[in-house]
Amino acid sequence: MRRLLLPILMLLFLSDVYAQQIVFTPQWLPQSQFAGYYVALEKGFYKEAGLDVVIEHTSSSDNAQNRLREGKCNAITMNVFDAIFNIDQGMEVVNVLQTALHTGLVIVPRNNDIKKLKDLSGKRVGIWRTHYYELSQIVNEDYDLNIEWIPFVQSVNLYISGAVDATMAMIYNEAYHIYASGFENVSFISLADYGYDFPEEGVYFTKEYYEKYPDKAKAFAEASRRGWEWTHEHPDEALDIVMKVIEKNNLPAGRQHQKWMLNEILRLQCDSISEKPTFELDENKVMQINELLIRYNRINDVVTKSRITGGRQ
Amino acid sequence: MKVNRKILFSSLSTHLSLFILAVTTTLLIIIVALNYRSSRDLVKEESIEHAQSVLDNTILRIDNVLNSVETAVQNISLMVVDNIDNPDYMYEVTRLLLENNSYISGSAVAFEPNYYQEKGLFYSPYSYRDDDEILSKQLGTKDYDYHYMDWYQIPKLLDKPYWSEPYFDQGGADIIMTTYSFPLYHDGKLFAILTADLSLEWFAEQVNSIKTYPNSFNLMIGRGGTYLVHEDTDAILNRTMFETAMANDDEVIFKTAHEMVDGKHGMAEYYQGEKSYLFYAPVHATGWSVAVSCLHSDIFAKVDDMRNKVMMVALPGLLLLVILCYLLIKYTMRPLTDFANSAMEIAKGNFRAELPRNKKNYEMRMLHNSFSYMQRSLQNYIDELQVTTANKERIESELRIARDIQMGMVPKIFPPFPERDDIDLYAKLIPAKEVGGDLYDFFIENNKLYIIIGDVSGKGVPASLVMAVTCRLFRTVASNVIDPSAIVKSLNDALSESNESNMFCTAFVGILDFETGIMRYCNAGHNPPVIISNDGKASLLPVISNLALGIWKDFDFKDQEIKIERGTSIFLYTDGVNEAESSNKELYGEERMLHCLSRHYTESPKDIVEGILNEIKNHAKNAEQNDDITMLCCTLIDKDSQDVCSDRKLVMRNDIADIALLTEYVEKLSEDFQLPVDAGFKLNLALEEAVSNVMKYAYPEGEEHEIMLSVKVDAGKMTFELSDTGEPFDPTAVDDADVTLSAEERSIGGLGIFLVRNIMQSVEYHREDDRNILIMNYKL
Repeated sequence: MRRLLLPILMLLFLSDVYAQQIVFTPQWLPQSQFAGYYVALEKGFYKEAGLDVVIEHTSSSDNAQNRLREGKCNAITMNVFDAIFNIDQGMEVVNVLQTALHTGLVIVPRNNDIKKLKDLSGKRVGIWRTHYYELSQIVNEDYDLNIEWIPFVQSVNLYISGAVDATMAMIYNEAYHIYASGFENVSFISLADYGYDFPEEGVYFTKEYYEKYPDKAKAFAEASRRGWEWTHEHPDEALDIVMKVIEKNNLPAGRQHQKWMLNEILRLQCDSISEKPTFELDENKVMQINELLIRYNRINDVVTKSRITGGRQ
Repeated sequence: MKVNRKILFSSLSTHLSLFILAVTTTLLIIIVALNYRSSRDLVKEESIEHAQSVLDNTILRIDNVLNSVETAVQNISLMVVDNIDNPDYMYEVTRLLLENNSYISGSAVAFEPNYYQEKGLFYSPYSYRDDDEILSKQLGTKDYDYHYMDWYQIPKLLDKPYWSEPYFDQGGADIIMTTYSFPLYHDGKLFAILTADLSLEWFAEQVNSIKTYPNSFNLMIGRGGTYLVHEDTDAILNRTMFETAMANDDEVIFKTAHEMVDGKHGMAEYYQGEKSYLFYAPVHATGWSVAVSCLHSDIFAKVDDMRNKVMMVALPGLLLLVILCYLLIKYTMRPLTDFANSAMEIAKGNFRAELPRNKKNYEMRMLHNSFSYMQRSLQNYIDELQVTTANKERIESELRIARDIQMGMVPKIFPPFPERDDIDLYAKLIPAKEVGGDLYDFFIENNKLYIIIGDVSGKGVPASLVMAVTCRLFRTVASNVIDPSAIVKSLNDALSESNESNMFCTAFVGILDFETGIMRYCNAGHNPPVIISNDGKASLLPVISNLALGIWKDFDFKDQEIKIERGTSIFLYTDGVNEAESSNKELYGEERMLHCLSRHYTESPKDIVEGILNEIKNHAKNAEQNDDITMLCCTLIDKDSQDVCSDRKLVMRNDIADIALLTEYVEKLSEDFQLPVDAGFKLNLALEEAVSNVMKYAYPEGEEHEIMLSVKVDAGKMTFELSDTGEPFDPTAVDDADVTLSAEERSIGGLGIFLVRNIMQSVEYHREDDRNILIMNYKL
């Protein structure tokens, strides 16, 4: 009997440890977009909150939402648009922290004659094959643009080769690549200016974890927020931390790109009036997204802010 | 040996050597610089050509392969179209393509979705190399949806063949490669894309085969400036040339990247640690650009090496040249140093000093001859000079003796008649040269005073001889003669006779009878003497000018006479006095002389003569004395007033200490005139005030000056005259002091003047020439 006791105790102990560990998967590969979390880890903010956090990244065959569905992680980042759509589709998640307040979505025209959304009427515009499909349809319908959306996997070669007239881009990612490919005089059409300023990523826990360990989820949100606040104050050091993570993952290190990205990410986190991060999900914007999705029959029911945040105010 | 640095740096040898060094160095630098410059230009031109041609060759090789691939794909595409109804045959087609073209690493015929219903959404027969084998598989799956790959989508959208940007392919060969995509149409509708893959490694090999210089490196960029070939492998597919330019804020690189992306040929000069050149050329088929970067120092290494070698030879050569020049010049110049030493010897007085002998050199021979001639000339000159100097010294010594003799001829012991109390006489003769032509003489015989003053025409030795004759004659002829004209006549006759050299002599002869006070006189063309009366009036004695002695024998000279009062002085002089010139040729003049005499009228003859002499000296300042000066003054003393008046004169300095002299003077005066004690005290008080006033205020500049006080006693009164040369100040014009004020508050002199006015019967002030004269009368 005694021979069995120790392994059993150890098992119990280990399962407890496992239960206490938070596996967090940001929505993309290591980059400045997630600087605050790397900072919180590196600076020991999670440890100070009594948390054992592991950041596991996505891969080309394993995206964050799938990992969450499959139980490979407890928390992910996701934009509000996707969250509302997914929750309506039955995904059980709770937003514990909203980092981005604005959208970084822009359309980059290939020639300077295209200055506003209307100018894109009947044109070929590149779009990510796996992202913003719903939004692209809505924009087309909203403004009656008849855009021919050309899905791309990842690169901006479509744009560079001239196969498209414009391309959707994240201000901190594709827009930078275009800029770094010698198109330094391009202008951006920001979707925020056309009523699509939908907040991007926030941190989402599975509802199961959130209900079981609400304190831990909240502590994670608080420590992550600390990480972001520190990043706002020390952007250069934060960039160093990001670069370390990128190198550790054997990814090509483009410091210049990461710097640009961090700058843009931090800008998108700031309230346009106070110019400071609020880490609050804007209820009006949530309702705006709901209205759009319902109008175009993309969701069945309104997904309120309270539903997204699990009642958190 | 200690080298004197001063001599070393100032020596001609050093200067010449340095000059040669400067010229040679300048020339050398110019030659080397010109040579270096043209070599560099040549090298630069050649290197540009070389780099461009190497680049062009490489690109030609690449183009050839790309063309062969394009042609192969186009050829094989016909087979696809021909066998469109046989989907499985496509494996054979791709395999065939690989077999026929060794550069192609993989090939696919990627069909549109659901083109063959039985094959489904994805159908893309694909052949690839695995070692030496060619394997085939179907490429498209749910996880590898080729329809969204650049190599599929872009040629489809562009409707033309397309070389893809290199990418890391995870669907096929797991290598970095570029894909040539050829769109296939059936009935005008695209149905598939035929592809051929080329490994980027092959391109890298081609590009990296360019080896122009030891430190050169090569790169290739894609359409967006992305590095495809780079020495930093991390940069490949990850960074763009534009990013590099932005990171370094390098305008040149940025511009160059644009040029390259735009498919241009060219060269750019930029800095990457050091000056570098980037040669670039486009790969037209793919839109890429290949570039070679060469270090400036690499390109010019050989030229720089050559320049360094030239300098290494040239610098010691220059040093050697300078040393040789210095030694040679020094050797050539050595006689000059010897000449300098000889010259120094000669300068020290050794005119026979030996001269260096140097027969080698024409210039040195010339110098030797000139030196030798100079030596002889100098010796002759010195000899002559010695004789001349000896002669001059002899003449000078003789003249000195002559002067002594001449001075011995005129009476020089004063007072001349100490036994007599009725006459005082003083005379002075100052020749302009060693010996002069002026004369004077006097003697008393039978209670008569015989005096003569004369001036021989001309100066110097001839005049002095006539003067000697005249003097001697006067003594001889004057004795026992009553008429001065007789004396003059005798003198005239004697001088006129045998007067070959036409010398003449003006003279004044007078005979004063002490008993009668009558002076008889005869003037022979001489200046009229001055009579100074006892009241201070100085006037010229009326004279008939007659004629100078020695001009006209038997001339009838006229006598004149005048009564001389007691206390009167007679002042005789020659024209050296009134015609004394100042430095700006202004004459002293009779007027000034008369003024001066009237000022000094109370004084003794000696003082009068010295007073005039002082004035003449002041007038002449630094001007050379141009005529003999002779003066004779004779005073007929008034024995009655002598006791009380004579010599009651006090000279003080403007020093308050001299007040003691005044006190003594007043005491003596009181004693002599038996003044009551209180009168003496009052007199002392008043005079002390007047004198101290002058001492304190007349000379603000503080230099030493004389203040003169004299007294004249008449019946019942004493007249004091206080004179000074200080600033004009009229004490009589000053208000009486406000005696209610304290001493410090009162104005200058006020109280003193108050006392003086109270004690003295009258006080008068006048300014005479540059003197303040204060006359004070005291009632006895």
